[in-house]
Amino acid sequence: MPAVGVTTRAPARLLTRRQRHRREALLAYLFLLPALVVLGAFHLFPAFYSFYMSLYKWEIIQERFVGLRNYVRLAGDPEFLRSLGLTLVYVVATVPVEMAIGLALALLLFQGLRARGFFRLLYFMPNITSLVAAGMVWGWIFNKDFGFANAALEALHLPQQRWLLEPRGVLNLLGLGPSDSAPSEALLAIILVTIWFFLGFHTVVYLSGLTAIPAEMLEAARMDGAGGWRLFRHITFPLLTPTTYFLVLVATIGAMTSFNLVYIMGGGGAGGCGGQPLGTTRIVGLFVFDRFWCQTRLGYASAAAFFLMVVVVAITALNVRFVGRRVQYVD
Amino acid sequence: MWTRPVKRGVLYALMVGAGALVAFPFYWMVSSSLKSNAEASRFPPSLFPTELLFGNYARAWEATPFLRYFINSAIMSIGTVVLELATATLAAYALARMRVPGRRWIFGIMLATLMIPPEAILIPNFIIIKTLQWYDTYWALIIPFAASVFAIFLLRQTFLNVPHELYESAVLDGCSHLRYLWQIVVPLSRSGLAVVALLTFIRTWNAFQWPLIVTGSKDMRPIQVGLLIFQSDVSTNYNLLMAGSAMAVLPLILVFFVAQRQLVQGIARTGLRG
Repeated sequence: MPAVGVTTRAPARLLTRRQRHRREALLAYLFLLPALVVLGAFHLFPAFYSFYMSLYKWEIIQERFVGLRNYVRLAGDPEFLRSLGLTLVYVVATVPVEMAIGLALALLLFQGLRARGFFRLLYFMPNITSLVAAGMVWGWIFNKDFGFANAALEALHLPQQRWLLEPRGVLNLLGLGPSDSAPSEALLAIILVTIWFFLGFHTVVYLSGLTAIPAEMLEAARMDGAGGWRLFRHITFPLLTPTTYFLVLVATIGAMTSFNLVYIMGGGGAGGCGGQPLGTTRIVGLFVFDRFWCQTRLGYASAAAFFLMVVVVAITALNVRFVGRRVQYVD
Repeated sequence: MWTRPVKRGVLYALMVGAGALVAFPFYWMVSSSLKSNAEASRFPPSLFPTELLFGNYARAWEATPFLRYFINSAIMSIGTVVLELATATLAAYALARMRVPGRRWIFGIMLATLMIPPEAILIPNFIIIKTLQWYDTYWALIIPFAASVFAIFLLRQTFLNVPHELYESAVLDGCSHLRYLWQIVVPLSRSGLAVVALLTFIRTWNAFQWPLIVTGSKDMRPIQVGLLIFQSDVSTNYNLLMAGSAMAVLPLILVFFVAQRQLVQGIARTGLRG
């Protein structure tokens, strides 16, 4: 028995090593339990449940089992296919542009100008505002009657635009395509706001990647006479490849699963379901929301949501496979 | 022609120019919020308000239950941060410093969870919330986000940087894991914990889609959903809408300026896109 006055519990050597290890393992599981319960209940389980729901005719209540019928219907649903197309347009129009501008700004900040810390924060500021507030402010800027955008156009003697109310395609307005070509002017406005919102994120990550490049390499290359563009093309950019891969993945998945901004600027709220005007901004996330929240077709919406999830998981898995090492999280 | 000072000048011009373009909407939001409705409805719009009507903010505040919305956002965000820190600290410590049989499986589950986009599991989570009768309660806003794999992994990295010799000497003094975690590891991991807290707070404060579907009454709605309702309340009074937006954004701008360094570092390390 431990003597009186000793404050510890049973001294370690009274338990065998095996017993100690088992105690520790149990304690470890206890530590892990809260996180695993929440993750299991609200992340993993719903992923499976989503598939389960998609196998049923499920409107307000669960009705009958229909197997893969919802998926077959989706494949033939012109609005769903349109939403996939619009999502593709949205991704292709935002991701490369955000990244290019982000990289350019990062390179700019990397030149060692004064007050670069301040400007780095400035470029990042849009990212910390909510997409809702951003949608409101830009909606006001793009207002067709009183907005700054149209005022700027007028000052440049260019025709006024309806912006977020304009369903006609950008190509059409430039005289280069049919009126239903994507993106509509409304979607273009949303694309521009998206780029504004996320460019700071790419700047911050690229800047971090740039500072990780060993200074000696850049020095050595400069001494060999490489300057400016050649330095960038042959040394800097290749060394940024891991950063670029990472950003492409994160930005693509983020764009594919977008909802907030597109919903707000596409006429969401006030009882509407977004996607305006005339459905030209209804990307996949909005399609799922519309079928779920506005049409209460839970089974059908779940099928679309599950499809989206599979695509995202596939892209992530492929990326890990082909790029090799994942970012530094796991040992 | 491209002498060094000229090059430098061009770079500065680009940097400042880009900054002006990015910052312009913020300026426009604030300047529009201080205009009278008549002035805001002028075309072309004035670049600077003729009169600074700070009273617009009071009017916006009264037009809609902003106080309630802010309180709800605060409860939701602070509650989530506290719970997430708690669950992630325990889990990260276990994965960093304890014997965990089957740790590869647990890592695997967590990685799998990372790949699941939240938008894709919205509908099942909604059903779960309804089943638990958590609809329109703070539980629905907080509990589903009470654990985050990003947080766990980031904290694990942080904890691994706390030298293990400290533990070995603590154990000789009869220290349990929990005490070691609480009294030694946590105080030494302040910056990692701060980054997690910060990023989580921002993400939760700006959350929109989930609160939109799980809250139904003005008593429970956080600020982002409230802002949307406010938009329909004020219809064409854009100056008030801008005032409301400015108020919704202000708390985070303050947090941003106070914690800039940790924030930028945190974003660069985790790649959380916001």
